[in-house]
Amino acid sequence: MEQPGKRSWMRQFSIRTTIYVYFTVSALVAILLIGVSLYGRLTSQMTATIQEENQALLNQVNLSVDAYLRTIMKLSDSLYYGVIKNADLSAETVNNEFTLLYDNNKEQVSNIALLSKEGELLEAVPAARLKPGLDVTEEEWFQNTLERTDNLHFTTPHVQYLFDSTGNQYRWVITLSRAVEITRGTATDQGVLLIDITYGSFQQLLDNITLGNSGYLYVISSGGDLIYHPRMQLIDAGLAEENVQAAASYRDGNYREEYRGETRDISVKSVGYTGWKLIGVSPERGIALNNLKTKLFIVFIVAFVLYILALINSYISTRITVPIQKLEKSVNALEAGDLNAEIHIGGSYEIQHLGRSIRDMAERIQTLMKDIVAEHESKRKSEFDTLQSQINPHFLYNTLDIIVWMIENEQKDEAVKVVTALARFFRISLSKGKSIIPVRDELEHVRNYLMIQQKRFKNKFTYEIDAEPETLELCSLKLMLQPLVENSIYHGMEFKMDGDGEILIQVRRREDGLWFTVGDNGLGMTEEQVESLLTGEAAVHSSRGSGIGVKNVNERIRLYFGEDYGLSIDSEPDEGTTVTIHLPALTKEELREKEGL
Amino acid sequence: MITKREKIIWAVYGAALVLLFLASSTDLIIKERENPVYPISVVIEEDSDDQYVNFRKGMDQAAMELNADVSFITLYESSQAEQQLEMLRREKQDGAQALVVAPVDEGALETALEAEPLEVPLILSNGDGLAEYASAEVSVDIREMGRALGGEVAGRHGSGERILLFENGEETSVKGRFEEGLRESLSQAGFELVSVSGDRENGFRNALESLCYPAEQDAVVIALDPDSLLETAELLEESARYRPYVKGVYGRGTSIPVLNALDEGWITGLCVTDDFSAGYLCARLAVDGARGTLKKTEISLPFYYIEREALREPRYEKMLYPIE
Repeated sequence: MEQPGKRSWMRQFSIRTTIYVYFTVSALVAILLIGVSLYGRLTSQMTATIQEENQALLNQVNLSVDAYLRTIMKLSDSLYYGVIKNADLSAETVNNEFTLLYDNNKEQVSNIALLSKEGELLEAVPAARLKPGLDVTEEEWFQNTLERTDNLHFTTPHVQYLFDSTGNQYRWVITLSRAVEITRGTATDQGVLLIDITYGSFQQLLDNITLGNSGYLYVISSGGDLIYHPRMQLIDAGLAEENVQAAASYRDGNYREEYRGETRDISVKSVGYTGWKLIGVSPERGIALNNLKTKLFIVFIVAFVLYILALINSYISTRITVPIQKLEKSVNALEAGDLNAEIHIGGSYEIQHLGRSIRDMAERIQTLMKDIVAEHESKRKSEFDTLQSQINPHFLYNTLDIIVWMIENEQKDEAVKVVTALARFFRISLSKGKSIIPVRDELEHVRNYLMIQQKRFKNKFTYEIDAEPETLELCSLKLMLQPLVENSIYHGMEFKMDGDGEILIQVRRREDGLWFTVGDNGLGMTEEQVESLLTGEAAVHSSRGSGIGVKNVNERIRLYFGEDYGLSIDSEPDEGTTVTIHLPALTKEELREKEGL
Repeated sequence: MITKREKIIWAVYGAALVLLFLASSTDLIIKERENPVYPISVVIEEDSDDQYVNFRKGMDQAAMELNADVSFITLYESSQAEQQLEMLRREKQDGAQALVVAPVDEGALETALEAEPLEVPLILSNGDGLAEYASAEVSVDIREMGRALGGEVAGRHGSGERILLFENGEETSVKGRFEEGLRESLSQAGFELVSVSGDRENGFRNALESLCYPAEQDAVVIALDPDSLLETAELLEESARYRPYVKGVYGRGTSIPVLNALDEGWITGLCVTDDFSAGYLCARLAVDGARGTLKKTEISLPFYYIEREALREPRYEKMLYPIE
């Protein structure tokens, strides 16, 4: 059902465009949904993989750091349990053992020292003495060590400052300290074993480890102080920043954080014993899927698939709609009245079926129209036949009146001629009910009529009938000339003086058919009168004429012989009128053959 | 049937696809970010880089991060402005895309560069305000540093104390500004200032000797340059004779020997700067200049006055002993 106004914008598009747009939009939505979900899935999967890899790398680094620290702790154990605990420091020196162990670990260790709880340097390798004026008992690490004797204590990185050294070098170290039991003779006392871990060797474990494209790794203490960072110096100088406080609060695992407008994946792993944390940082921009070219490539893939689908859609919509469009053209031709237009039958079953139905419908319309036309013609013919079979009673009454007048005036011969003419007139009028009669009979009929009218109008006019002999056997329409002659008499001759009126009837055969002319020198007619005569508005009054108008003659000719034939009137006021009739030049046999076809 | 308009749309769409493909999968439209090496040169005002150790570490950090190739150039002879200019031109000819200079004489440099510009970005280290010829500057207000040190000295010592100003005789604009600020501050405080120009043996020792003989005199020594400061510290370390008369030794510098002298007590107070940051920033600006993204920039870094105890403070420890 048509709904005015609703979705009217769609009506301006063809069915092909509509199908194409629907298909393409559906395809685009589907591609975008699939693309977005795949992109999201890939990104999250890649992020998860990167996090797993980061965690694995972190575990690996953690193992290295752990092994490194264990080496130092084992050294500390060796120094304590293997050397210090077995030695009486009042009687012997442990310098050789210290030196030996130092030499074995000097890549990782800067200094090894044993201090009494009073801060006295008991042994040191390779350093020889403490810096003048330095009281180690005031140092926080020293106090902590003696307070918590069971623990190993690690400081944050610092410049080695305890021992006197020469040269222009400084060394960053991480100090490991532990409380030890010192034996001096029979007395035992607490002391502090110190191992300065060379920061550079620790740094080497972590340098050049990258996570993804731009990720990195750093280490913080349990208190959130930086132990290692690739940009440590810049952070200390305030030229770079790190989210250390947040990292200090993280437990082991993976996190995502926003820091300075950047999304970062964080992996955290605790280093055994020390309380340090390894922090892996992977900025989201480092993930391969996030770079411009990858994004453009995804857009390209979506656009390319859409292009292919749009091409397929175009092909499909064309295949579906072309038969419909052709059928529509056929229907348009039918609408325009061309019932013989070829109906396109093609495409899918439904459209073929529709085409066949329309074709059948057109054929039925054609048949019905022919039937209607034939029925109409038949009805008209019967009407004309009925009309021509009726002679105006006034004509008969007037003619009989003339005959009576002639007999009373003893003009018997003349009366006989008129009666004879009347008899012939009626005989031809009947013609056994035929409508098509030979030219000869039609001329005879009009001659009889003219003779009677000449008598009646007391020779006010003369007449002449001129027919070529070869035309006499050709077919003519019955009562075709009589209404024209009647029209000439009543419109032209009635007002003429005696003998002035002339009526000339000619019949000629030409290449294009049979031509009759009925001319008079009567009053003539204006164009308006001619027009009204042809339209039937100005027929001879029924009480005077035969009752068959000029218009009827024309219609009858066209009805029997076709639209190419008929009559025309050429008239000038005061000059006269010539009526020309054009008929096909057909013999009776030829006419029968034609009708038979 | 495909209309002409549709054909045009298909063709445009196809062309867009080709462009998209070229942009996403080739280097024809969007070039992969290249990682070029930026050759930059640093020309200092001295014939030794002793005072530039931390500065160089900062530059190395920036060079590593920004892919720069840093050439560090010292003069054949300290404080030779012409030689420095010659070095700058040579480095530019050798392909340096940006230059960093610690000017010997800013006036001479400006005159020379106005006559014949270098046509590469020039970063000024410790200049006196952003000069016309420089693209950027990283500096410490040396004049203010001198004033501040004068203030510290005045606060610690009475105005009757003699002040010996030791300097090595080499004229550099940095030293000039430092002395200017120092003199301004100390003169206002009513100190008597005595300039001693020379070196350890020919000048400083004599000046210290004069404190002991013929008359005993106390004095405060302020070294205008790090070399003079270190030599003064060495003299005091070597000879206990001078120590009772020298009430304080002050100066500026961040080299390890100078810091060690402070740590050992031969130097009383020291003005220090964050040389690592200065070096890092100079290199970063130079790389920006080489990339063509440098805007006229002036970065002013702070200075600090420290004494022995401050050396152990993490803040100064990390600044003065950068981790490599």
